[in-house]
Amino acid sequence: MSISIISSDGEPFKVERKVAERSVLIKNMLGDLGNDDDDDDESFEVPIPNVRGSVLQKILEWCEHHKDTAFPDDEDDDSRKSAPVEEWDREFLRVDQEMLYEIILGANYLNIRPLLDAGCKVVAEMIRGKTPEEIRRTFNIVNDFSPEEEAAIKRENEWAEDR
Amino acid sequence: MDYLTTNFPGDMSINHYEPFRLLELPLEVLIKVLIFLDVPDLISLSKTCHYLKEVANERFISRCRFYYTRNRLNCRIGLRPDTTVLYEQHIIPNKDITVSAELLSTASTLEKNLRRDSLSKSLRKRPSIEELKQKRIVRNPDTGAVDDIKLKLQNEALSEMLKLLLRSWRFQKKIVKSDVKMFVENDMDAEYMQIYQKVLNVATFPSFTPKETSKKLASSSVSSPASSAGSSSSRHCSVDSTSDNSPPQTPVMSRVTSGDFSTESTPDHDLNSGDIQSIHAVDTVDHGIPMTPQRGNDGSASHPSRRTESLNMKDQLHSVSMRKKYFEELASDASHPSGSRRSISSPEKVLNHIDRCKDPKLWGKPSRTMLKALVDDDVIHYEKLK
Repeated sequence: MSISIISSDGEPFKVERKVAERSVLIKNMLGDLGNDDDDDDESFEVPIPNVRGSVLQKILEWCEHHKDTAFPDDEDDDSRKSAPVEEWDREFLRVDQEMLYEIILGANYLNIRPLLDAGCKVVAEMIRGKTPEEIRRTFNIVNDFSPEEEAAIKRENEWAEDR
Repeated sequence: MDYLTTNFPGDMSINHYEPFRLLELPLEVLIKVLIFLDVPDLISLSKTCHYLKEVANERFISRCRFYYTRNRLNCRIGLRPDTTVLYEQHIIPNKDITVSAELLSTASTLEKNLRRDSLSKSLRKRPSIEELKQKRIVRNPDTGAVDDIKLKLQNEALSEMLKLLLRSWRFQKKIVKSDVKMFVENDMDAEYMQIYQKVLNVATFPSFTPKETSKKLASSSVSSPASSAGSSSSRHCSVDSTSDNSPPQTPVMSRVTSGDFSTESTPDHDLNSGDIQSIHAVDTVDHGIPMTPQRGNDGSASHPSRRTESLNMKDQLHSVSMRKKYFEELASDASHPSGSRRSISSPEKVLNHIDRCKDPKLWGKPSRTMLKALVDDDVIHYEKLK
Protein backbone atom coordinates (compact mmCIF):
# COMPACT_ATOMS: atom_id res chain seq x y z
CA MET A 1 0.00 0.00 0.00
CA SER A 2 1.35 3.38 -0.96
CA ILE A 3 0.53 6.62 0.71
CA SER A 4 0.30 9.88 -1.09
CA ILE A 5 1.34 12.77 1.11
CA ILE A 6 0.24 16.15 -0.08
CA SER A 7 2.26 19.16 1.02
CA SER A 8 0.88 22.60 1.91
CA ASP A 9 1.58 23.83 -1.59
CA GLY A 10 -0.28 20.83 -3.09
CA GLU A 11 2.69 18.79 -4.17
CA PRO A 12 2.02 15.03 -3.77
CA PHE A 13 4.68 12.61 -2.53
CA LYS A 14 3.98 8.90 -3.01
CA VAL A 15 5.76 6.78 -0.44
CA GLU A 16 5.53 3.33 1.04
CA ARG A 17 3.30 2.97 4.05
CA LYS A 18 6.29 1.83 6.07
CA VAL A 19 8.14 5.05 5.23
CA ALA A 20 5.12 7.22 5.93
CA GLU A 21 4.55 5.53 9.29
CA ARG A 22 7.85 6.96 10.55
CA SER A 23 5.56 9.87 11.31
CA VAL A 24 3.46 9.02 14.32
CA LEU A 25 0.89 11.53 13.08
CA ILE A 26 0.33 9.64 9.80
CA LYS A 27 0.53 6.29 11.54
CA ASN A 28 -2.22 7.22 13.97
CA MET A 29 -4.27 8.71 11.18
CA LEU A 30 -4.08 5.49 9.13
CA GLY A 31 -4.91 3.48 12.21
CA ASP A 32 -7.91 5.65 13.00
CA LEU A 33 -9.22 5.28 9.47
CA GLY A 34 -8.99 1.47 9.71
CA ASN A 35 -6.73 0.98 6.70
CA ASP A 36 -4.56 -1.72 8.19
CA ASP A 37 -4.55 -3.96 5.11
CA ASP A 38 -1.16 -3.70 3.38
CA ASP A 39 -2.31 -5.57 0.32
CA ASP A 40 -4.84 -2.95 -0.53
CA ASP A 41 -3.82 -1.33 -3.80
CA GLU A 42 -5.91 1.68 -3.11
CA SER A 43 -3.79 4.82 -2.75
CA PHE A 44 -4.38 6.78 0.40
CA GLU A 45 -3.93 10.53 0.45
CA VAL A 46 -2.79 12.39 3.55
CA PRO A 47 -2.74 16.20 3.39
CA ILE A 48 -0.03 17.94 5.39
CA PRO A 49 -1.07 21.59 5.37
CA ASN A 50 1.72 22.92 7.58
CA VAL A 51 4.75 21.64 5.66
CA ARG A 52 5.94 22.97 2.35
CA GLY A 53 6.82 20.65 -0.53
CA SER A 54 10.60 21.19 -0.36
CA VAL A 55 10.66 20.57 3.39
CA LEU A 56 8.36 17.55 3.11
CA GLN A 57 10.62 16.07 0.47
CA LYS A 58 13.57 16.44 2.79
CA ILE A 59 11.69 14.89 5.68
CA LEU A 60 10.54 11.96 3.54
CA GLU A 61 14.15 11.44 2.46
CA TRP A 62 15.06 11.03 6.11
CA CYS A 63 12.12 8.63 6.63
CA GLU A 64 13.20 6.58 3.61
CA HIS A 65 16.73 6.26 4.97
CA HIS A 66 15.55 5.30 8.43
CA LYS A 67 12.63 3.12 7.47
CA ASP A 68 14.28 0.04 8.99
CA THR A 69 16.17 1.73 11.81
CA ALA A 70 15.21 0.68 15.33
CA PHE A 71 15.23 3.84 17.45
CA PRO A 72 15.22 3.72 21.24
CA ASP A 73 11.91 3.87 22.99
CA ASP A 74 10.38 7.31 23.34
CA GLU A 75 10.25 6.83 27.09
CA ASP A 76 13.95 6.02 27.31
CA ASP A 77 15.19 9.53 27.94
CA ASP A 78 18.62 8.32 29.04
CA SER A 79 19.74 6.81 25.75
CA ARG A 80 17.98 9.50 23.73
CA LYS A 81 19.83 12.29 25.48
CA SER A 82 23.24 10.72 25.77
CA ALA A 83 23.37 9.40 22.19
CA PRO A 84 25.21 11.79 19.85
CA VAL A 85 23.79 12.77 16.51
CA GLU A 86 24.42 10.11 13.89
CA GLU A 87 26.88 11.05 11.19
CA TRP A 88 24.30 10.60 8.43
CA ASP A 89 21.80 12.75 10.30
CA ARG A 90 24.43 15.41 10.87
CA GLU A 91 25.15 15.56 7.16
CA PHE A 92 21.44 15.50 6.43
CA LEU A 93 20.88 18.51 8.69
CA ARG A 94 23.80 20.44 7.22
CA VAL A 95 21.41 22.81 5.50
CA ASP A 96 20.72 26.51 5.68
CA GLN A 97 19.26 27.87 8.91
CA GLU A 98 15.79 28.39 7.48
CA MET A 99 15.56 24.83 6.19
CA LEU A 100 16.76 23.52 9.54
CA TYR A 101 14.14 25.60 11.28
CA GLU A 102 11.40 24.23 8.99
CA ILE A 103 12.60 20.63 9.31
CA ILE A 104 12.41 20.93 13.09
CA LEU A 105 8.92 22.38 12.86
CA GLY A 106 7.86 19.74 10.32
CA ALA A 107 9.27 16.92 12.43
CA ASN A 108 7.45 18.32 15.42
CA TYR A 109 4.21 18.55 13.49
CA LEU A 110 4.50 15.10 11.89
CA ASN A 111 5.67 13.75 15.28
CA ILE A 112 8.88 12.19 14.04
CA ARG A 113 10.68 12.08 17.36
CA PRO A 114 14.16 10.90 16.23
CA LEU A 115 14.35 13.61 13.58
CA LEU A 116 13.15 16.23 16.05
CA ASP A 117 15.78 15.12 18.58
CA ALA A 118 18.51 15.29 15.98
CA GLY A 119 17.40 18.81 14.95
CA CYS A 120 17.22 19.99 18.58
CA LYS A 121 20.69 18.57 19.29
CA VAL A 122 22.11 20.43 16.31
CA VAL A 123 20.57 23.69 17.58
CA ALA A 124 21.82 22.96 21.12
CA GLU A 125 25.32 22.54 19.72
CA MET A 126 25.02 25.99 18.18
CA ILE A 127 24.40 27.38 21.69
CA ARG A 128 26.85 25.23 23.68
CA GLY A 129 29.99 26.91 24.99
CA LYS A 130 29.06 30.40 23.81
CA THR A 131 28.92 33.60 25.83
CA PRO A 132 25.65 35.54 26.01
CA GLU A 133 26.96 38.03 23.48
CA GLU A 134 27.97 35.29 21.07
CA ILE A 135 24.54 33.67 21.41
CA ARG A 136 22.94 37.02 20.64
CA ARG A 137 25.04 37.39 17.51
CA THR A 138 24.38 33.80 16.37
CA PHE A 139 20.60 34.00 16.68
CA ASN A 140 20.18 37.73 16.13
CA ILE A 141 18.71 38.32 19.60
CA VAL A 142 18.19 41.86 20.84
CA ASN A 143 19.40 42.54 24.36
CA ASP A 144 16.35 43.88 26.16
CA PHE A 145 17.91 43.96 29.64
CA SER A 146 18.55 47.20 31.44
CA PRO A 147 21.98 47.59 33.10
CA GLU A 148 20.41 47.06 36.53
CA GLU A 149 18.77 43.86 35.37
CA GLU A 150 22.02 42.64 33.91
CA ALA A 151 23.77 43.31 37.21
CA ALA A 152 21.02 41.46 39.07
CA ILE A 153 21.31 38.45 36.74
CA LYS A 154 25.05 38.45 37.21
CA ARG A 155 24.61 38.37 40.99
CA GLU A 156 22.08 35.56 40.70
CA ASN A 157 24.45 33.40 38.72
CA GLU A 158 27.64 34.15 40.57
CA TRP A 159 27.66 30.66 42.04
CA ALA A 160 28.17 29.17 38.59
CA GLU A 161 30.65 31.67 37.21
CA ASP A 162 33.76 29.56 37.73
CA ARG A 163 33.12 26.64 35.50
CA MET B 1 -6.11 19.49 15.10
CA ASP B 2 -5.11 20.41 18.61
CA TYR B 3 -1.52 19.33 18.20
CA LEU B 4 -0.94 21.82 15.42
CA THR B 5 1.33 24.25 17.14
CA THR B 6 3.06 25.94 14.26
CA ASN B 7 1.64 27.81 11.32
CA PHE B 8 3.49 28.82 8.23
CA PRO B 9 2.53 31.97 6.43
CA GLY B 10 1.62 31.16 2.86
CA ASP B 11 4.00 33.60 1.25
CA MET B 12 7.04 32.70 3.34
CA SER B 13 10.18 32.42 1.24
CA ILE B 14 13.46 30.90 2.22
CA ASN B 15 16.15 33.38 3.15
CA HIS B 16 19.52 31.65 3.17
CA TYR B 17 21.30 34.48 4.92
CA GLU B 18 19.04 34.84 7.92
CA PRO B 19 20.15 33.40 11.19
CA PHE B 20 18.32 30.57 12.87
CA ARG B 21 15.08 31.88 14.30
CA LEU B 22 15.45 30.51 17.78
CA LEU B 23 12.97 32.88 19.36
CA GLU B 24 10.29 31.85 16.86
CA LEU B 25 10.48 28.20 17.74
CA PRO B 26 7.37 26.89 19.52
CA LEU B 27 7.83 26.78 23.26
CA GLU B 28 7.77 22.99 23.50
CA VAL B 29 10.44 22.73 20.79
CA LEU B 30 12.55 25.42 22.43
CA ILE B 31 12.34 23.55 25.74
CA LYS B 32 13.43 20.36 23.95
CA VAL B 33 16.46 22.21 22.63
CA LEU B 34 17.26 23.56 26.09
CA ILE B 35 17.00 20.13 27.68
CA PHE B 36 20.11 19.11 25.73
CA LEU B 37 22.12 21.98 27.25
CA ASP B 38 24.20 22.01 30.44
CA VAL B 39 23.64 24.44 33.32
CA PRO B 40 26.42 26.92 32.34
CA ASP B 41 25.00 27.12 28.82
CA LEU B 42 21.54 27.69 30.23
CA ILE B 43 22.92 30.52 32.37
CA SER B 44 24.55 32.09 29.33
CA LEU B 45 21.31 31.76 27.42
CA SER B 46 19.34 33.34 30.26
CA LYS B 47 21.57 36.41 30.04
CA THR B 48 20.64 37.14 26.44
CA CYS B 49 17.04 38.38 26.73
CA HIS B 50 13.93 38.30 28.91
CA TYR B 51 12.15 35.60 26.95
CA LEU B 52 15.07 33.18 26.92
CA LYS B 53 15.67 33.93 30.62
CA GLU B 54 12.16 32.79 31.44
CA VAL B 55 12.45 29.70 29.28
CA ALA B 56 15.89 28.76 30.64
CA ASN B 57 14.65 29.13 34.21
CA GLU B 58 11.63 27.01 33.42
CA ARG B 59 10.97 24.60 36.19
CA PHE B 60 10.28 21.87 33.69
CA ILE B 61 13.87 21.91 32.46
CA SER B 62 15.24 21.60 36.02
CA ARG B 63 12.90 18.75 36.76
CA CYS B 64 13.84 16.99 33.54
CA ARG B 65 17.49 17.31 34.52
CA PHE B 66 16.77 16.03 38.01
CA TYR B 67 14.85 12.96 36.81
CA TYR B 68 17.42 12.29 34.14
CA THR B 69 20.23 12.37 36.71
CA ARG B 70 18.30 10.28 39.17
CA ASN B 71 17.61 7.61 36.58
CA ARG B 72 21.23 7.54 35.54
CA LEU B 73 22.37 7.27 39.15
CA ASN B 74 19.98 4.41 39.79
CA CYS B 75 21.49 2.54 36.87
CA ARG B 76 25.06 3.29 37.94
CA ILE B 77 24.53 2.47 41.63
CA GLY B 78 23.59 -1.07 40.66
CA LEU B 79 26.91 -1.42 38.83
CA ARG B 80 29.07 -0.32 41.78
CA PRO B 81 31.84 -2.79 42.74
CA ASP B 82 31.76 -4.55 46.09
CA THR B 83 33.82 -3.19 49.00
CA THR B 84 35.93 -6.36 48.94
CA VAL B 85 36.97 -5.62 45.37
CA LEU B 86 37.76 -2.01 46.29
CA TYR B 87 39.86 -3.17 49.24
CA GLU B 88 41.77 -5.65 47.06
CA GLN B 89 42.52 -2.90 44.58
CA HIS B 90 43.78 -0.64 47.43
CA ILE B 91 41.10 1.94 46.77
CA ILE B 92 39.71 1.85 50.31
CA PRO B 93 41.94 1.35 53.36
CA ASN B 94 39.69 -1.04 55.23
CA LYS B 95 37.43 -3.84 54.15
CA ASP B 96 35.07 -3.05 56.96
CA ILE B 97 33.58 0.32 56.10
CA THR B 98 31.91 0.50 59.50
CA VAL B 99 35.26 1.40 61.10
CA SER B 100 34.94 4.94 62.32
CA ALA B 101 36.84 7.75 60.73
CA GLU B 102 38.23 8.66 64.14
CA LEU B 103 39.87 5.27 64.50
CA LEU B 104 41.36 5.52 61.05
CA SER B 105 42.78 8.96 61.76
CA THR B 106 44.30 7.68 65.01
CA ALA B 107 45.94 4.82 63.15
CA SER B 108 47.26 7.22 60.56
CA THR B 109 48.68 9.52 63.27
CA LEU B 110 50.39 6.61 65.00
CA GLU B 111 51.95 5.47 61.77
CA LYS B 112 53.23 8.97 61.09
CA ASN B 113 54.71 9.21 64.59
CA LEU B 114 56.43 5.87 64.14
CA ARG B 115 58.01 7.00 60.89
CA ARG B 116 59.07 10.30 62.43
CA ASP B 117 60.74 8.58 65.39
CA SER B 118 62.55 6.13 63.19
CA LEU B 119 63.75 8.91 60.93
CA SER B 120 64.98 11.06 63.81
CA LYS B 121 66.80 8.05 65.26
CA SER B 122 68.54 7.49 61.95
CA LEU B 123 69.41 11.15 61.69
CA ARG B 124 71.03 11.12 65.11
CA LYS B 125 73.41 8.42 63.87
CA ARG B 126 74.78 10.67 61.19
CA PRO B 127 78.50 11.46 61.45
CA SER B 128 79.36 14.98 62.52
CA ILE B 129 80.71 17.55 60.13
CA GLU B 130 84.09 17.43 61.84
CA GLU B 131 84.30 13.70 61.25
CA LEU B 132 83.43 14.17 57.62
CA LYS B 133 86.06 16.86 57.29
CA GLN B 134 88.62 14.59 58.86
CA LYS B 135 87.76 11.81 56.47
CA ARG B 136 87.88 14.31 53.63
CA ILE B 137 84.32 13.53 52.61
CA VAL B 138 83.42 17.15 53.16
CA ARG B 139 85.86 19.79 52.00
CA ASN B 140 87.41 21.75 54.81
CA PRO B 141 87.30 25.42 53.83
CA ASP B 142 90.42 26.21 55.91
CA THR B 143 92.73 23.50 54.65
CA GLY B 144 90.76 22.47 51.58
CA ALA B 145 93.14 23.91 49.00
CA VAL B 146 96.17 22.41 50.70
CA ASP B 147 94.41 19.07 51.01
CA ASP B 148 93.53 19.08 47.34
CA ILE B 149 97.10 19.74 46.28
CA LYS B 150 98.31 17.18 48.75
CA LEU B 151 95.94 14.58 47.41
CA LYS B 152 96.88 15.41 43.85
CA LEU B 153 100.55 15.05 44.59
CA GLN B 154 99.98 11.82 46.43
CA ASN B 155 98.04 10.46 43.50
CA GLU B 156 100.76 11.49 41.12
CA ALA B 157 103.40 9.87 43.29
CA LEU B 158 101.34 6.72 43.58
CA SER B 159 100.84 6.46 39.86
CA GLU B 160 104.54 6.99 39.19
CA MET B 161 105.36 4.42 41.79
CA LEU B 162 102.99 1.89 40.35
CA LYS B 163 104.31 2.43 36.85
CA LEU B 164 107.80 1.82 38.02
CA LEU B 165 106.86 -1.22 40.04
CA LEU B 166 105.06 -2.67 37.09
CA ARG B 167 107.93 -2.01 34.75
CA SER B 168 110.44 -3.60 37.04
CA TRP B 169 108.23 -6.58 37.66
CA ARG B 170 107.64 -7.12 33.98
CA PHE B 171 111.30 -6.79 33.33
CA GLN B 172 112.12 -9.42 35.92
CA LYS B 173 109.50 -11.77 34.64
CA LYS B 174 110.74 -11.50 31.09
CA ILE B 175 114.21 -12.42 32.11
CA VAL B 176 112.97 -15.38 34.09
CA LYS B 177 110.77 -16.53 31.28
CA SER B 178 113.55 -16.23 28.74
CA ASP B 179 115.59 -18.73 30.79
CA VAL B 180 112.97 -21.38 30.25
CA LYS B 181 112.40 -20.16 26.69
CA MET B 182 108.90 -19.03 27.38
CA PHE B 183 107.67 -15.66 26.46
CA VAL B 184 104.38 -14.66 27.86
CA GLU B 185 102.93 -11.35 26.83
CA ASN B 186 101.18 -10.23 29.96
CA ASP B 187 98.32 -7.93 29.86
CA MET B 188 99.59 -4.57 30.99
CA ASP B 189 96.34 -3.45 32.45
CA ALA B 190 95.77 -6.67 34.34
CA GLU B 191 99.19 -6.44 35.92
CA TYR B 192 98.72 -2.85 36.79
CA MET B 193 95.41 -3.55 38.44
CA GLN B 194 96.87 -6.49 40.32
CA ILE B 195 99.60 -4.39 41.84
CA TYR B 196 97.28 -1.51 42.44
CA GLN B 197 94.93 -3.79 44.37
CA LYS B 198 97.79 -4.98 46.49
CA VAL B 199 98.77 -1.43 47.27
CA LEU B 200 95.21 -0.57 48.17
CA ASN B 201 94.96 -3.58 50.42
CA VAL B 202 97.97 -2.49 52.38
CA ALA B 203 97.37 1.18 53.01
CA THR B 204 97.32 4.57 51.48
CA PHE B 205 100.42 6.04 50.00
CA PRO B 206 102.64 7.85 52.48
CA SER B 207 104.09 11.27 52.25
CA PHE B 208 107.63 11.53 51.10
CA THR B 209 110.07 13.98 52.61
CA PRO B 210 113.54 15.12 51.78
CA LYS B 211 114.59 14.34 55.32
CA GLU B 212 113.44 10.80 54.94
CA THR B 213 115.18 10.52 51.63
CA SER B 214 118.43 11.65 53.11
CA LYS B 215 117.78 9.38 56.05
CA LYS B 216 117.14 6.59 53.62
CA LEU B 217 120.33 7.32 51.77
CA ALA B 218 122.19 7.44 55.03
CA SER B 219 120.71 4.19 56.18
CA SER B 220 121.55 2.54 52.89
CA SER B 221 125.07 3.91 53.11
CA VAL B 222 125.32 2.38 56.53
CA SER B 223 123.77 -0.87 55.66
CA SER B 224 125.60 -1.43 52.41
CA PRO B 225 128.91 -2.25 53.97
CA ALA B 226 127.14 -4.47 56.38
CA SER B 227 125.50 -6.28 53.52
CA SER B 228 128.77 -6.71 51.74
CA ALA B 229 130.11 -8.11 55.02
CA GLY B 230 127.41 -10.73 55.03
CA SER B 231 125.02 -9.20 57.52
CA SER B 232 121.35 -10.03 56.97
CA SER B 233 119.92 -7.03 58.79
CA SER B 234 119.43 -4.75 55.79
CA ARG B 235 117.79 -4.71 52.46
CA HIS B 236 120.99 -4.39 50.47
CA CYS B 237 122.06 -7.56 52.04
CA SER B 238 119.02 -9.24 50.62
CA VAL B 239 119.74 -7.81 47.18
CA ASP B 240 123.27 -9.03 47.22
CA SER B 241 122.37 -12.36 48.64
CA THR B 242 119.73 -12.70 45.98
CA SER B 243 122.18 -11.98 43.25
CA ASP B 244 124.61 -14.37 44.87
CA ASN B 245 122.23 -17.20 45.62
CA SER B 246 120.11 -17.12 42.51
CA PRO B 247 122.19 -17.25 39.37
CA PRO B 248 119.47 -16.24 36.91
CA GLN B 249 118.96 -13.00 38.81
CA THR B 250 120.74 -10.34 36.81
CA PRO B 251 122.44 -7.24 38.14
CA VAL B 252 119.75 -5.20 36.53
CA MET B 253 117.28 -6.99 38.65
CA SER B 254 119.33 -6.25 41.69
CA ARG B 255 119.40 -2.63 40.75
CA VAL B 256 115.67 -2.60 40.34
CA THR B 257 115.22 -4.29 43.65
CA SER B 258 117.49 -1.78 45.31
CA GLY B 259 115.45 0.95 43.71
CA ASP B 260 112.40 -0.64 45.18
CA PHE B 261 114.13 -0.70 48.47
CA SER B 262 114.79 2.98 48.25
CA THR B 263 111.20 3.70 47.68
CA GLU B 264 109.95 1.21 50.16
CA SER B 265 111.92 2.74 52.94
CA THR B 266 109.44 5.55 52.99
CA PRO B 267 107.88 5.82 56.38
CA ASP B 268 104.53 4.93 57.88
CA HIS B 269 103.81 1.45 56.67
CA ASP B 270 104.84 -1.61 54.75
CA LEU B 271 103.31 -0.53 51.50
CA ASN B 272 106.28 -1.23 49.30
CA SER B 273 107.52 -4.03 51.39
CA GLY B 274 104.31 -5.84 50.55
CA ASP B 275 104.83 -5.25 46.88
CA ILE B 276 108.43 -6.19 46.94
CA GLN B 277 107.65 -9.22 48.97
CA SER B 278 105.12 -10.24 46.39
CA ILE B 279 107.65 -9.68 43.62
CA HIS B 280 110.17 -11.72 45.52
CA ALA B 281 107.58 -14.37 45.97
CA VAL B 282 107.08 -14.54 42.24
CA ASP B 283 110.77 -14.80 41.70
CA THR B 284 111.07 -17.48 44.30
CA VAL B 285 108.38 -19.54 42.69
CA ASP B 286 109.98 -19.11 39.30
CA HIS B 287 113.37 -20.22 40.49
CA GLY B 288 112.21 -22.78 42.96
CA ILE B 289 114.35 -21.17 45.64
CA PRO B 290 112.60 -20.24 48.86
CA MET B 291 113.31 -16.67 49.68
CA THR B 292 111.82 -14.79 52.59
CA PRO B 293 111.66 -11.07 52.67
CA GLN B 294 114.48 -9.83 54.81
CA ARG B 295 113.22 -6.45 55.51
CA GLY B 296 111.51 -5.05 58.54
CA ASN B 297 114.41 -4.07 60.78
CA ASP B 298 115.42 -0.94 58.94
CA GLY B 299 116.56 1.94 61.01
CA SER B 300 113.99 4.19 59.41
CA ALA B 301 111.20 1.86 60.36
CA SER B 302 112.30 1.91 64.00
CA HIS B 303 111.55 5.61 64.38
CA PRO B 304 107.87 6.14 63.70
CA SER B 305 107.83 9.45 65.56
CA ARG B 306 109.99 11.05 62.90
CA ARG B 307 107.59 10.02 60.21
CA THR B 308 104.65 11.91 61.62
CA GLU B 309 106.22 15.32 61.10
CA SER B 310 103.89 17.73 59.42
CA LEU B 311 105.01 18.96 56.05
CA ASN B 312 104.61 22.23 54.39
CA MET B 313 103.82 22.52 50.73
CA LYS B 314 107.32 23.37 49.68
CA ASP B 315 108.68 20.22 51.19
CA GLN B 316 106.03 18.15 49.53
CA LEU B 317 106.64 19.60 46.12
CA HIS B 318 110.31 19.12 46.56
CA SER B 319 109.89 15.54 47.66
CA VAL B 320 107.75 14.70 44.68
CA SER B 321 110.11 16.29 42.20
CA MET B 322 112.99 14.46 43.80
CA ARG B 323 111.17 11.18 43.68
CA LYS B 324 110.24 11.70 40.09
CA LYS B 325 113.82 12.37 39.24
CA TYR B 326 114.86 9.26 41.05
CA PHE B 327 112.26 7.12 39.32
CA GLU B 328 113.20 8.51 35.95
CA GLU B 329 116.76 7.63 36.58
CA LEU B 330 115.71 4.20 37.66
CA ALA B 331 113.52 3.74 34.61
CA SER B 332 116.33 4.80 32.29
CA ASP B 333 118.56 2.28 34.00
CA ALA B 334 115.97 -0.38 33.48
CA SER B 335 115.59 0.51 29.82
CA HIS B 336 119.39 0.28 29.36
CA PRO B 337 120.28 -2.82 31.30
CA SER B 338 123.82 -3.05 29.94
CA GLY B 339 124.73 0.38 31.31
CA SER B 340 123.23 -0.29 34.64
CA ARG B 341 124.87 -3.67 34.81
CA ARG B 342 128.15 -2.00 34.34
CA SER B 343 127.49 0.74 36.83
CA ILE B 344 126.04 -1.14 39.80
CA SER B 345 126.80 -4.73 39.13
CA SER B 346 129.52 -5.19 41.72
CA PRO B 347 129.43 -4.35 45.41
CA GLU B 348 132.34 -1.95 44.92
CA LYS B 349 130.38 0.03 42.41
CA VAL B 350 127.43 0.08 44.69
CA LEU B 351 129.63 1.49 47.40
CA ASN B 352 130.98 4.11 45.00
CA HIS B 353 127.53 5.07 44.08
CA ILE B 354 126.52 5.41 47.70
CA ASP B 355 129.63 7.44 48.46
CA ARG B 356 128.72 9.69 45.64
CA CYS B 357 125.36 10.10 47.15
CA LYS B 358 126.88 10.85 50.51
CA ASP B 359 129.01 13.67 49.19
CA PRO B 360 126.81 16.72 48.84
CA LYS B 361 129.21 18.34 46.43
CA LEU B 362 128.59 15.64 43.91
CA TRP B 363 124.85 16.16 44.08
CA GLY B 364 124.95 19.35 42.05
CA LYS B 365 123.02 22.21 43.53
CA PRO B 366 121.56 21.15 46.87
CA SER B 367 118.09 22.38 47.25
CA ARG B 368 117.26 20.79 50.55
CA THR B 369 118.52 20.28 54.08
CA MET B 370 121.08 17.53 54.10
CA LEU B 371 121.37 15.18 57.01
CA LYS B 372 124.12 12.86 57.88
CA ALA B 373 123.20 9.66 59.60
CA LEU B 374 125.35 8.14 62.28
CA VAL B 375 124.54 4.60 63.19
CA ASP B 376 125.17 3.16 66.62
CA ASP B 377 123.98 -0.43 66.56
CA ASP B 378 120.20 -0.04 66.41
CA VAL B 379 119.94 3.75 66.83
CA ILE B 380 120.50 6.25 64.08
CA HIS B 381 121.45 9.83 64.87
CA TYR B 382 121.13 12.59 62.35
CA GLU B 383 123.34 15.59 61.88
CA LYS B 384 122.67 18.53 59.65
CA LEU B 385 125.27 18.90 56.90
CA LYS B 386 126.41 22.39 56.14
